[in-house]
Amino acid sequence: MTESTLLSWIVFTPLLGIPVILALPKEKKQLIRYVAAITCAIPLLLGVYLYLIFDPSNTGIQLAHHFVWIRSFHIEYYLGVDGLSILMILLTVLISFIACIASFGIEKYLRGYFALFLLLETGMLGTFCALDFFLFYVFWEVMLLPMYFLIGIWGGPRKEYAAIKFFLYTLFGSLLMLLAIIALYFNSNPATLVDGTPVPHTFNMIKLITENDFANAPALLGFAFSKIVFIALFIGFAIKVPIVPFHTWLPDAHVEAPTPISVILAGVLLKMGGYGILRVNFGILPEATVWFAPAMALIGGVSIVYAAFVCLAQKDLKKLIAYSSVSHMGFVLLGIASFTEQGITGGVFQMWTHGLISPMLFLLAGVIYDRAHHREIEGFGGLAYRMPEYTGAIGLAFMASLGLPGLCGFISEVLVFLGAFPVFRTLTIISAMAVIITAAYYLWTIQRMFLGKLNEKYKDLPDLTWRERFTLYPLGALIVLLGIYPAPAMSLITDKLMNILQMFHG
Amino acid sequence: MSDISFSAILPELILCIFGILVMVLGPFLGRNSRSFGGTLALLGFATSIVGALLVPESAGKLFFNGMVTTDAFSIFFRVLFAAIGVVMTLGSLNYLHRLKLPTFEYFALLLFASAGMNFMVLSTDLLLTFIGLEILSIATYVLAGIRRDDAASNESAIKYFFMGSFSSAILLYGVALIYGSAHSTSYQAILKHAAAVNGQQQIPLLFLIGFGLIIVGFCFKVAVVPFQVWAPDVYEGAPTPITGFLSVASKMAGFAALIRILFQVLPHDLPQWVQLLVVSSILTMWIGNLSALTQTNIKRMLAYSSIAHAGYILIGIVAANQTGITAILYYAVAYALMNLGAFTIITILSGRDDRRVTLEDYKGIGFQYPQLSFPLTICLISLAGIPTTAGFIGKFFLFSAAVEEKMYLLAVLAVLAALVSVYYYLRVVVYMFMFEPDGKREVRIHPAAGVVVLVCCLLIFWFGLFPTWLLEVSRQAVILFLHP
Repeated sequence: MTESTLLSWIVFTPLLGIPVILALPKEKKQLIRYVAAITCAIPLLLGVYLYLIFDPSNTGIQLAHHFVWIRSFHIEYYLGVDGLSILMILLTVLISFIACIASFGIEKYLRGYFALFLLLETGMLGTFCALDFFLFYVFWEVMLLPMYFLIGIWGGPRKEYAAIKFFLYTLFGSLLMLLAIIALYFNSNPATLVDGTPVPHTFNMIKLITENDFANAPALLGFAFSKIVFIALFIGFAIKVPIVPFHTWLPDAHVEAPTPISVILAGVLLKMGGYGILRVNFGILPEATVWFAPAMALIGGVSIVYAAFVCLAQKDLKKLIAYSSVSHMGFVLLGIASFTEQGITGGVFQMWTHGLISPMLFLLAGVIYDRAHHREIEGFGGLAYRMPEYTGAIGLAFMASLGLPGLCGFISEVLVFLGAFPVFRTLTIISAMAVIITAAYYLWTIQRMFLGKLNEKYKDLPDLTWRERFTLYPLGALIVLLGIYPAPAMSLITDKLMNILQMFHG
Repeated sequence: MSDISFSAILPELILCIFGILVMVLGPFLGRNSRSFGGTLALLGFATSIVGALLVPESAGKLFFNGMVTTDAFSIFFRVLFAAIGVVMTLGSLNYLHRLKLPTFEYFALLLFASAGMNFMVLSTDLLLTFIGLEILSIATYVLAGIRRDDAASNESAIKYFFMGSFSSAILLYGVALIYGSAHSTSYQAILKHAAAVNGQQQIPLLFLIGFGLIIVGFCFKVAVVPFQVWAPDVYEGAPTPITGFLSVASKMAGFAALIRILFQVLPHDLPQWVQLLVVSSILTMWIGNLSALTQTNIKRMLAYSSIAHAGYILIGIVAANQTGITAILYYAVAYALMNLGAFTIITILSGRDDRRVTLEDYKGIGFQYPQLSFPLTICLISLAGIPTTAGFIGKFFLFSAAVEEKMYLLAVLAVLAALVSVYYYLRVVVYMFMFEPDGKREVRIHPAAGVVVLVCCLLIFWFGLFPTWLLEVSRQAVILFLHP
């Protein structure tokens, strides 16, 4: 393995585990689980190595793996990493590993489950590494199908409905994206492939960003080219984020999905939307981004406030966490739409903090569901007396999610507010108010589930097991650590983001 | 005449000889050697592939009084049709045995049908095209009704026969009108005539109507809206392997002949047909996909799906650029792989009397028969156009062709139609994997059919991940249609 193939190894190692798992006899459940965990651990270790050799001061693409893939259509295989994607890659390998450990409780069709799980990981990592637009789209879609099966086969009572809804929503967005990709391709300037062949058009994202200006491309269906392409791409990504009003697939998918899949969904999949908007919309179509920024901020604000209110009305713990995801991903949009240093940094960092906090929340919701077989908030009470460790963990996660100083959620939210305030004053104030609603629903939930009189039915619930600790503690530790000392993560992104900012101010 | 060259029609001769051999030897061997017909057919198709590859490729030279060409386009399809024949033979061996159908007749007809398709793609004369079409049609009428004691199969055959004769008549009438105008049925002469009149005056009405009728005749054959109504009934009633054959092979032969006529014979500045075919393409995709949504019979669902796929292929025809026509050839291969793969599996699962073809029959088989349900899933997601499969690459290039020609509305409508289609393909998957089975059932997988399924699935992924070779071959095959 050389440095140039490191990314390919990270992306495709999970794939290598699939034949191994499928070859194992299905009775050897524990062995299958261990093989899957090891297969997930390798990308994690490679990710750590990637973090160590990554040069944060370099704003360009590093560790590129680049060759021609489909010559007849000028499509290249192009993986690379920069300050924007490295955080997402690290998040993906970490969350995938934790979700894999959390999957040890799965009993049904184990081999199929882990095979799909590993395929999903490859799809996610590939999306964050791909720098050829076609390749990006392929990975984006590759991730879709395993997700569909993981929800649809291993999910809850309404799994078929939730799975197909997830699939059709996302596919609608990605097909719009596909058309936008083709339109961008045919309007791109001549370029050269990596081996020097001159070509009339290009899928190379870096070339699309640096060497093309779509502001003056011919109109499309009577609309300005850059604007309509921007909107097509934005919808594609925003469905994944998700934003109000395209969010309705999310609560269904989360409630029906098995716990580890919810973890992946909240921890990584939602981030693809934000990543896509920053990488593609901001990078390739800066003029249209400026034009659309107020609307983007408004969508962000509406998502924050609306979802927070919806949370207040939830009776199911998992649904509450799902809607809180919608609310917190709204911060990402609000932050990046401001074009200020703090705003964009905060938005990207919010993706990371939410990627740590929401998996922890879903794991915790899974813990109580495994024990009580339901998640009705009203159905519990006084759990703090029986499960002190669990209560402590969920308290930490709730506090981090509502933005308590000293935990990482606070830093990203403050940065977003600081960045957005000078640009969208009223909106920022209203969004900041929503934090109070957030505090309200979390505290109220704690009060109903953990305080008060102990529900006699649950007086024998055991506290956390070692496996659960193994998944929860690393996340909790990172949440605290990055809350006190966020520099390791920040230093990776800031230089790159300054690069993006210059496109708008410079 | 010096241009009589039997090597130019070598694959067709091989197919016919083997067809006759099967027919002649069949009665002598009797009922106790069922696999003999299959073996002979397999040998015939395999030799025909070799023969097609041996045919000297020459774009400019015509044979048999200017009726036969050996250009790359014809060779591409001759190889494809023979390969389809191999797949059909292997896939239906066990089916014929299970349903106690006459094997010799079946395989002889398959060989003749294949020869007919070959004549459709190699002909450069309207009459030979028509004869090829009739050889194909008559063979498939009988194949559709080969289950003589089954009412649905009979209905299918009769319907197909009537609709087919009707469309042949329309086509022939068109040929007659063209002859009246151009005084020849040879493509070269017609093109010359068209170029001559085009220079000075309006194209004669006779000529225009003649072409209109020919296009309509082919539209019947490939089942595009509004000439598609016969397809679902015929496909549903026909024996399952034959449904696969009709939806793939005869459709592709129709498209190949249509492409040759549209791009080689028709004057290029005749825009009217483009507008009509754009409308037809949109309607075909939407009506096909929307009708498939509510089907509970998988054969019928795939019938509508194949209508929709004809709509996608029309995109390539109306875009009429290099991307588009190349994509059609690529898509023909991809579509053959995924549809034949799917039909082979459906054949295996169709049970003793070929009736277990509803969604209910597929409940819960996902984990009961993973060796069938996984390949079927692969074929279906390829039909749905999900990346890493050949179906995606094909759709991608077809849609790209439309965008390249700035037909944005067509591209948007096509993409949305593809989205609709995902729902019904995945519904089969939902039934297979997400519902509990009703009970155990006996399914026996014949090794020959197993091999077919495996190869189809592998090739779907291979061409989906590494399409360069096939795209290059397709591009070489259509170069003669592209006018700088």
